[in-house]
Amino acid sequence: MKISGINKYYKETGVHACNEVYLSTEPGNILALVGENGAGKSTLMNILCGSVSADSGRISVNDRNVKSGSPESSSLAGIGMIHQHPEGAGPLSVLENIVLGYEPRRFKIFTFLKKAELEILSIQKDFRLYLDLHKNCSELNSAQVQRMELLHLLYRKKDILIFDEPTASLSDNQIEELITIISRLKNEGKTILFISHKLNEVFRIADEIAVMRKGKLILQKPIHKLTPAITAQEMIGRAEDVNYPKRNHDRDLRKAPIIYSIENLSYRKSDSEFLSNINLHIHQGEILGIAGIRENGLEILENIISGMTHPQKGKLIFNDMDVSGESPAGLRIRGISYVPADRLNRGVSADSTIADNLILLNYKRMHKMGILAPASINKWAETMQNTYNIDGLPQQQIKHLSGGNIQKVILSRELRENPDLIIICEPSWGLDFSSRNQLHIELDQTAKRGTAILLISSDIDEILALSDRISVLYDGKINITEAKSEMNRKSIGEYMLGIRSER
Amino acid sequence: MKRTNRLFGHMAGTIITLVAVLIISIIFLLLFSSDKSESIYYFFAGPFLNSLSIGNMLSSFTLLVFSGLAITVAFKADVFNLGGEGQIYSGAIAATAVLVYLPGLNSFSGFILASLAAAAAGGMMAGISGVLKNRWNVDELISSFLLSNAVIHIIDYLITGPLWDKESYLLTTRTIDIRFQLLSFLRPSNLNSSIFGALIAVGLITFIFFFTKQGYELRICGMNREFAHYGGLNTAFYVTAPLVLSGALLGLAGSSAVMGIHHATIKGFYSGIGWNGIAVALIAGTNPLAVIPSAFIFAYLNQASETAMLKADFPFELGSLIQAIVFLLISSKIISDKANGIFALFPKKKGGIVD
Repeated sequence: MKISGINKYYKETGVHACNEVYLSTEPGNILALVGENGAGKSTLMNILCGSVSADSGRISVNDRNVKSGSPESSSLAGIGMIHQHPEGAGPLSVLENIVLGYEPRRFKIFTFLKKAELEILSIQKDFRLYLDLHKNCSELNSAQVQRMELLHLLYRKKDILIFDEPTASLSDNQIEELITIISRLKNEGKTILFISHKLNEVFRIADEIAVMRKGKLILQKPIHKLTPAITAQEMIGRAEDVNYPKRNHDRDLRKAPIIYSIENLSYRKSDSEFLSNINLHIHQGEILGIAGIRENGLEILENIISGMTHPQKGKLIFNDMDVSGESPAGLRIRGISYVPADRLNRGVSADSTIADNLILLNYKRMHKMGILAPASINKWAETMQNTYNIDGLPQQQIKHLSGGNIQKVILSRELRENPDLIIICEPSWGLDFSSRNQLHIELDQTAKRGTAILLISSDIDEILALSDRISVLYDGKINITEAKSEMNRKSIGEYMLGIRSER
Repeated sequence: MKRTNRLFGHMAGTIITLVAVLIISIIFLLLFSSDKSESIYYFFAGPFLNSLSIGNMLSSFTLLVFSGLAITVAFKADVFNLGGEGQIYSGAIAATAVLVYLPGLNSFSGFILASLAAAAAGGMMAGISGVLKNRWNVDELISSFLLSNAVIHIIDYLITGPLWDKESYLLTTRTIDIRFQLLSFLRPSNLNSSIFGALIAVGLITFIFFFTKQGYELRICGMNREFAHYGGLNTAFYVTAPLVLSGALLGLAGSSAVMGIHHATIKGFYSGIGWNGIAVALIAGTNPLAVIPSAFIFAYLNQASETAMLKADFPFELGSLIQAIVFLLISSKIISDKANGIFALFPKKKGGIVD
């Protein structure tokens, strides 16, 4: 596959998303495409898939031209993409999801699922991609949905597979499995494009690395000619530490007053979604990290603490007050802020403007006798954007911002309320490392000002970098709570997998 | 993007839809009419040829602005109100009841009281759907429709029974006193001063949407209810309130028809206004200002087929056919979505295994 001279310029925003990009790869090759948020990776991939048309340039597969801006043409050329946050059609089975739209027919009318099943079973055997085909799609976790999407692409006989940040929402184990699958695909002669922020993964699996920065392809080199440090430098254009910034843990917070506690919390929604007997407390100015693999109760815990769901048993105590029955509105009044993991659906209203998103918590103070003048909204938005370095114009739809900027919008809005407690979930999902480091520094400073931070994350490194104390959630229960100094990467990993337990 | 884009963002799709509608109308005209040039002439110029047709066009425009605006309010908050006909009807009967049976009203207090009664009747009808939705999660789309259908029969009974005007040949209530009748223009057409009321309502709703605290809350709830709930907004309120407001506007459509056109509630007069309001709102997107051109085009098409029918050999069914096409085009929404696609900055990133 060859990409030559691709250009894409967005007039409306003045962004040169792709600037004369040349890229080539061949079967049996894993090409990793790395770059910061907004470097143009997604645009390039969307051009490849045909969902965006390029201003100029050519894409060819096996020396045959692919029509730009035509998903059909890309699909015919064998290009398929595994999305960052794949979704399945809820009530259908895995099998039905895989063949959706391309069901084999019997007598041209009736769907012939048996035939499809046999076909898929043989694909599963070839690639050792195991997944129960008769399970309902809504019961799958994100790794399984991803696998389902991969099966769909293999069923459609795609040879060029694009993985868009496939590890973003996976646990360490699931990442291992994915890496095995990808190398198996490679051995079968598939062409793989792997987009990622995580350089350590990239260096484990890729054969070649291509770096993009500000719409330009900076380099494309075989892996043995590069090191993570050099790659990182190329990605951001200057030397910067790839690692997490260090926090000073010099304060003894054990004597600080307890601001929030969870007592005997239990909740059961289904056999796979439950919490049992959770006890936690958090001191003023402390960062408590709750680590865990997704689907171990992190999501319900997030919903309960934030007031989106109410506990079935147990109490939530904030400043000596029982807040278990409070709605998000009530919690906000009392001084609890919340940065959700699901940023695009819960954290922002994607179709609304940046300004409308920024004033969500503040508009009640801005109106004059009910009148909310657009001018004052814009002014507020501009001030916030300047203070926190947020791109875009106030009246632009927020969905056009990059992930890092969207996270800044949410965080700045929440911090501006000067809360006593912030619940922050998976804060660095989808962020490149300079945005992530900035965010970590911001959180560190917030904690120093005396705000308690409850960090829920499935990223061990993030938990280790930020937390004063760490709790590990496994199978709906708290496996251990310990000061950060007593924990390391390995032990947290073991607690997360339930291999060790201190209960 | 400037603010004008927010207000007029949907115009592109709207205009393309309307042009498509016009083109299809012409094609049908050419196919089915024997004297093509005459038909085309009366179809396009007809509504503007004399004051009667101009007046009638503007009068139906007035009603369509009210009903289109009402549905737009509901759409903006992401709720549905399919009970337009029942709400118009109850607004009309409430206004009539006040004006006919309440003694001692002068023309001003009568106008105010009748309008309030109409708004309250329509608003209450729609509000019930909101309460049902919040309480028992009953789909407001279904409940507003069913409630409306039930109420229509009750009002039919009132008109043909207890409120029937025995001196009239028609199935109608008693006529309201002349002092309550709105100013007419371009007699003998139906045009009356309620047209200004409709335009003021558009301005008011636009102001509420984009310049007030409640408007902001309503827009946010309509855009993303989960986000609104997360931000601490009262999301339940913004199911009921937009429905009440929507119903109230439809009630006003009813009272304006009573005070301005029929001067009584005639059985079945609502026909067409309620449903066409939905079409008007769909063309307008969720933009209250776009209701004006959208309602105008609708009123124009109505009047055009009527004059072409009277003056040329334009078949009666063709008028309904064109309206059906309009409805189809709009409800499929293909055209306006395509237009939005052209103007969108970036394609929407979609997950999912369907490619």
